[in-house]
Amino acid sequence: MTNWTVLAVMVALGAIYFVLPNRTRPDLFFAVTVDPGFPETESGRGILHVYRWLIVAITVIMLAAQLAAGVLLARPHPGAIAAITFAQVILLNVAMVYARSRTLAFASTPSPVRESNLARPQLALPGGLGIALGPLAILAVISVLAWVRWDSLPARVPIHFGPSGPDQWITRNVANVAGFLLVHVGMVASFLAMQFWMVKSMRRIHAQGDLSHSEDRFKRLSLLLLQAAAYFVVLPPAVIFLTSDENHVLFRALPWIVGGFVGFTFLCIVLMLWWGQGGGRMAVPAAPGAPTGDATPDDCWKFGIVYFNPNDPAVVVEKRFGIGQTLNFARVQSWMLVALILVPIIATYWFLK
Amino acid sequence: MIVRIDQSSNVPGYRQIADQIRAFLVEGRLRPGDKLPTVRELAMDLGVHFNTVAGAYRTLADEGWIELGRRRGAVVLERKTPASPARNVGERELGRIRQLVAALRASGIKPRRLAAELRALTRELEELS
Repeated sequence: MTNWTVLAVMVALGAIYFVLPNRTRPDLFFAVTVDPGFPETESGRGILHVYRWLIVAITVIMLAAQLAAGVLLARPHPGAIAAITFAQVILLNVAMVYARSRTLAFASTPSPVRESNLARPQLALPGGLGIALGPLAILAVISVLAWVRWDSLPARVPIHFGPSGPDQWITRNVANVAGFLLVHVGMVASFLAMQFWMVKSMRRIHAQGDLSHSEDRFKRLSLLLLQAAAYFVVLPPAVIFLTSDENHVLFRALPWIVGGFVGFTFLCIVLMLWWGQGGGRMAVPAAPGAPTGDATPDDCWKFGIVYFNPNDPAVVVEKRFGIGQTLNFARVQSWMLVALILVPIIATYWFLK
Repeated sequence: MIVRIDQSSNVPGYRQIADQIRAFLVEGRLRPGDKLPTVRELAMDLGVHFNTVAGAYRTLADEGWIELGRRRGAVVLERKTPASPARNVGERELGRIRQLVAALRASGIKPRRLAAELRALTRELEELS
């Protein structure tokens, strides 16, 4: 990641947090269940105004800190860059928690009524189980190929790619290559598990009407993004072990493939922000009398961010503040997924080191 | 076919679910061979424990409305002639209609609206008979 990219990411983070309050479901405001009209009241506008000033101030101060730490210099301190970016994320969330604490005074009681449509077909994995398992199958083929063509593999196996091609390598030995492939298995498995639990263990908040259709559309896009990410993850090892040649045209195409995936992810995020959380902004509001809220109790949301509800069978739930999904940390499956996500990250860090 | 569960109600969850699905079965909206959602799916949507939905399905299975299979899930059965209840049970159940109407009137629903609902129900029953 170039240092200009770091600054762009920090600006994007600030921009996303700036617009997020308008992108959540209409009956949620800073992760608190409210009457749908509350954000337009004087109190609601006041809370939003202060929050947005805080977001702008935090982003500007952190950008200045990043510049002061020498982010644009030839050899900036990498630890400082990471620490300042991390501090920005923490402070943006502190601003959200502060706005939430002010909103709590205006909370309304979530509807105790939950609905389910018996006639609605269950959401499926895009393309079915075969397509979802594709990345794992590709990794299996790669492992066999690596075993069979061991001697033709390069002495240094590239494991990281920059804009101009490979920039980090590992020495070819069984432990290194097996570890490299296992890291990818872990990453793909975490994407697959998230998809599986989104289909099997995620509630549909609205059972009927326009809101239910836009909710399904939003989930399908989330599933597609996870699936694309899984296929993207197996591309570099596939190219490395199929071609074994850094001058191969596929090797040289990898930065473009990476760019293509980043572009696709960016488009998905923009689309999700446009649709609003759960597609709630692109649907006709629910009819009067329909259940309000997101079918989760307010008091199970710690700081409006972490969901912990032992009485809820759902493993995956919609985020209350933000776009996308989060986990019910009272379910053991959630911790299994966290382990699946963390292990490859830690292992990747170890490999790159 | 929307199933609702009111978590603030005194009526146990499994009975709320069973009563509504039974109504769909009686009205013919669920037909023999139709599959009901899995216990997991319905529990997820309604935010209740799996046992609550499983209890509702067991009640309906005991009454002969559905069959519970490990592989096929819950499937609606042919049930042309409901088992004839004992006389006192039937009267007690019928008495619940009056209690329900009284409770609905007490909750502020206008008699005219209630009468319209009951007329619609009567028409459906006449069509069935």
